[in-house]
Amino acid sequence: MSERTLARRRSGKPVTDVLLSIWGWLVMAFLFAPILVIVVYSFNEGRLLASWDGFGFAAYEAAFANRQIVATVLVTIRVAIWSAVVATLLGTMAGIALARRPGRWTAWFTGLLLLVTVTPEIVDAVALLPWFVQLGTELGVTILNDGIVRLAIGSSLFSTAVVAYLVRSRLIGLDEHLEHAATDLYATPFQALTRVTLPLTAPAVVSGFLLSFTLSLDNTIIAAFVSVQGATPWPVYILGSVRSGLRPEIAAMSTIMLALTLVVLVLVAIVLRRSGDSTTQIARTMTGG
Amino acid sequence: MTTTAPPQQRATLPPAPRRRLRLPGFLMALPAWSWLLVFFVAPVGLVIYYSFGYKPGLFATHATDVLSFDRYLEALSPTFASVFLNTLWVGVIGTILCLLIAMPAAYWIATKVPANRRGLMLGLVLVPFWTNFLVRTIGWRVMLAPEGFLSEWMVGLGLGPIEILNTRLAVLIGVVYNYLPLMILPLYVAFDRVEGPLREASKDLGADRVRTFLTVTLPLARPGIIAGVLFVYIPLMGDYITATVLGGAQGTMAGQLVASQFTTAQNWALGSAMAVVLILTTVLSAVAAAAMLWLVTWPLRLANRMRIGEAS
Amino acid sequence: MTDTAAQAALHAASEARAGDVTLTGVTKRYGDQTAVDGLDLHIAQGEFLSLLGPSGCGKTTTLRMIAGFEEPDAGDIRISGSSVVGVPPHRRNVNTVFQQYALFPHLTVAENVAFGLRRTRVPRSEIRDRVVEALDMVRMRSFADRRPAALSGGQQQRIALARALVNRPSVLLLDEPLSALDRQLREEMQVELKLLQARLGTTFVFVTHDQGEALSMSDRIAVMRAGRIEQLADADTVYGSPSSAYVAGFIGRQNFFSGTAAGATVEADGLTLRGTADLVAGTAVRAAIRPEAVRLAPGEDAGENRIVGRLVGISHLGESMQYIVESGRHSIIVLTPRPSAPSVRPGDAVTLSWAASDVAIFPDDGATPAPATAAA
Repeated sequence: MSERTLARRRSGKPVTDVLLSIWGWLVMAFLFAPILVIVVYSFNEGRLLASWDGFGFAAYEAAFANRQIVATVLVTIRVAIWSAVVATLLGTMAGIALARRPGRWTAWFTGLLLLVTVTPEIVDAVALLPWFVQLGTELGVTILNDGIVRLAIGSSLFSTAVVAYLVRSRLIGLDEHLEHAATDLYATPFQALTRVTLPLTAPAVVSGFLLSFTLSLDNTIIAAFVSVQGATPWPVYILGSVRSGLRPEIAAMSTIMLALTLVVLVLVAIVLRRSGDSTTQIARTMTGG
Repeated sequence: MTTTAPPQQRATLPPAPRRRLRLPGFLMALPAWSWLLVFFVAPVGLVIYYSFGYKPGLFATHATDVLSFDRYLEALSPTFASVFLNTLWVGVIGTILCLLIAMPAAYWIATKVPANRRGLMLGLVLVPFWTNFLVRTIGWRVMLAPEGFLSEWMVGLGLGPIEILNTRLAVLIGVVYNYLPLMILPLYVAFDRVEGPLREASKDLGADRVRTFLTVTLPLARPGIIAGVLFVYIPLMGDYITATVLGGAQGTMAGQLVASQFTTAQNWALGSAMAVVLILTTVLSAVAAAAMLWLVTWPLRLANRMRIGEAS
Repeated sequence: MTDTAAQAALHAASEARAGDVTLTGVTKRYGDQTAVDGLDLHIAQGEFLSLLGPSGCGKTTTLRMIAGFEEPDAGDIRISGSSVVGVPPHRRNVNTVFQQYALFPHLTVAENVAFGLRRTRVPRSEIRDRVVEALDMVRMRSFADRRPAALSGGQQQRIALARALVNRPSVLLLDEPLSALDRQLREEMQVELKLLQARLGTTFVFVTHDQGEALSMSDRIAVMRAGRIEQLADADTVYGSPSSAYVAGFIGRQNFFSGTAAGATVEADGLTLRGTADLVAGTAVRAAIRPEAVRLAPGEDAGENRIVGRLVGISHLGESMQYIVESGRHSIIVLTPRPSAPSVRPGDAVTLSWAASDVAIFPDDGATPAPATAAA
């Protein structure tokens, strides 16, 4: 066999590998296309989002000058914080209980969490609207008339289940002997919980909080149904303008929010890497796997 | 906390452990439990209850003094049934497309991309996930607009303008796009778990790459594939936003139907029945698909089975 | 090309038989790291050859190149006389027993064993018979319908062996197959592997970092270091006449003394060691003495090489006793069979002696061989 054919046989990647990587990059392009479009069109000087009319920063100025837009974004952020706090608190406790105190109740509870995750959001939405109205006006639970409270509750439901799953799977993967060792070293059960279990669960709790926060930022369907006048969240505002007419300001504000989210994510990735996680682990933590 | 003191009481122990009440194990789950009971089970239960009622008059939304299945019959009448069928079409085709698109991509990330760059790749897959759902759908509206840049390019190439906005096809593109990351992630995890040595062992035993994929990688990745399909199919069937932004009048999905009964039509009873039908359609179609797949692969599994039995 | 390379090439051309493996100038680089560096090796049909060395010496890479999982950057690999460079693993008539067994978890034991046969054109009726035969061979027939996860490490090991051998490969490659087993099982499997190989007459290429495994089973051992073969010989030669301080340190345990040669003696930091070699005075050398070649006696004693020291430690190793003796700045390990063990206690003054023929002297090549560590 000549040296040339040998060399070719050695270096040549199989055709399937080449096709796979072409496909992979095409999928990446597909995933980024509409996001790039939004970012590019946020520099559209025109009046309508979809028709390009020259490059400029007018949309950004307009977005910040528009009180309504700023107000809706602030509502959304407030709701997201509250919703993430509630979901993380409830979900973490539930997750620890599921992993460390299993019993006959676990099957029922897991079933409930499963139901929460598989029920279409639109069903939650149509169910919550009359429920809030009934509790708030007819039974006098006036706190439920508050727009922020309604929105936070609405988006906390799915998140609670997600955090519980995350914490549970993290703890199940960890040896319970660690907690036993703590009690053996004279820690009370409560101390074992706060000094050993919670620190061990921390990555799941952090990613659960982040995930809840972003899920809440995204929450459109439930929000569209339960929001009240004066506390319109950002996605509901956008949904409204899909009907009335999309303007570049929306793209501008979305671009800013995307940039902020990415900065936060990179920061979290750096923190996680400092604490010794591998890239794949980080990606998994952030996606809740 | 719920455990009692450690069973072994050593004389040398520092302060004698106090006796504690043994509390039930679910105590820590109780807050979440009650939260979901009040804000999920109760309202959804109420919706199911409403679905057996009726709309008594023009200005009332529901009444439940007479219970019947009439609203279900109404929900399945031809006008609405076509929407459910449309939803099922988008759901099934969309999930299959997601699977077909995601499978090679996830396999590529898990096995071909160098290990130190995999995290970055997953991060890139996730960027859409962290972008507002509505905003990225609007991105598609801009791209698919008949007067948009993509359309102009197509005209320039002599292929004619894109005229699919406000059709079922636009909805299909939108849902495939929106739910694709949810398919790629579990598939990646599944392929990542099929260790390199197992694939090498298969090649060592005479299987080429295609055979290795079909006989080793795919069967081992099955749990991840099932998870991915469910992650995509369930929310896709209940989709409301994509259809609202891209679908127009032609691309109506069941989610919009339910919503319109609660908002514009103010018929909570019918809307509730539609919501229940939507859930049942989703669950039953998934079960039916699973059963069909099981039956179709039966001969294949039979052929690959080998039973030796105990040595006599 | 070196002499051995030419020889190997000649060998390959003249008398290639089914089951021969010939590597000529094989090189593999990863980035700027050279894993295998111009390796020449001829493995005869039916031979049990071990590739022995520490991790990173290139032994596994060599095996993976024979299997086809890696392609060499330069050089040629011939199996049964024909070059396999560029031939994918599934078209090579070699099979591998993997380090962690790599049994398919979704298949039963029998289906695992049948996997390779199903890929080739073996008739269905024959597959079953051969699977049963292979399972009988490793005495695992009664586990045929179980899943691998339900088996112990040793049982999985046997299945991995059956799964490879059922295909009747011309060469069987074993990648540290015993490293995951506990000691007793490992020793049992060593015997079993050797018997099996003798019965089948298949060429076995066995990768290990455990010198005991290599010594007990191999016809020949290739001791590898930094991508090259340091010594290639049968077990007796490698153990008795190591070609370098590196090999001496890797095979068995050694007491090493660094010093300067002066004729037949070595001056090593206050000790004078008498050997048999005639050395150029003034060269830096390493002298090595095996712990079992040292005789330990209480008090003072006579002998060719004789030093006095103080006993600091005794450990029981079952069939033998291990002593640690300090003399000046040296710490010397002595192994004595139990029946002939002298009665001494830590703190006692003792005399160590050994024959000049037991002193192996190597040029000091700067490499740090494994120190003679005391067995735990």
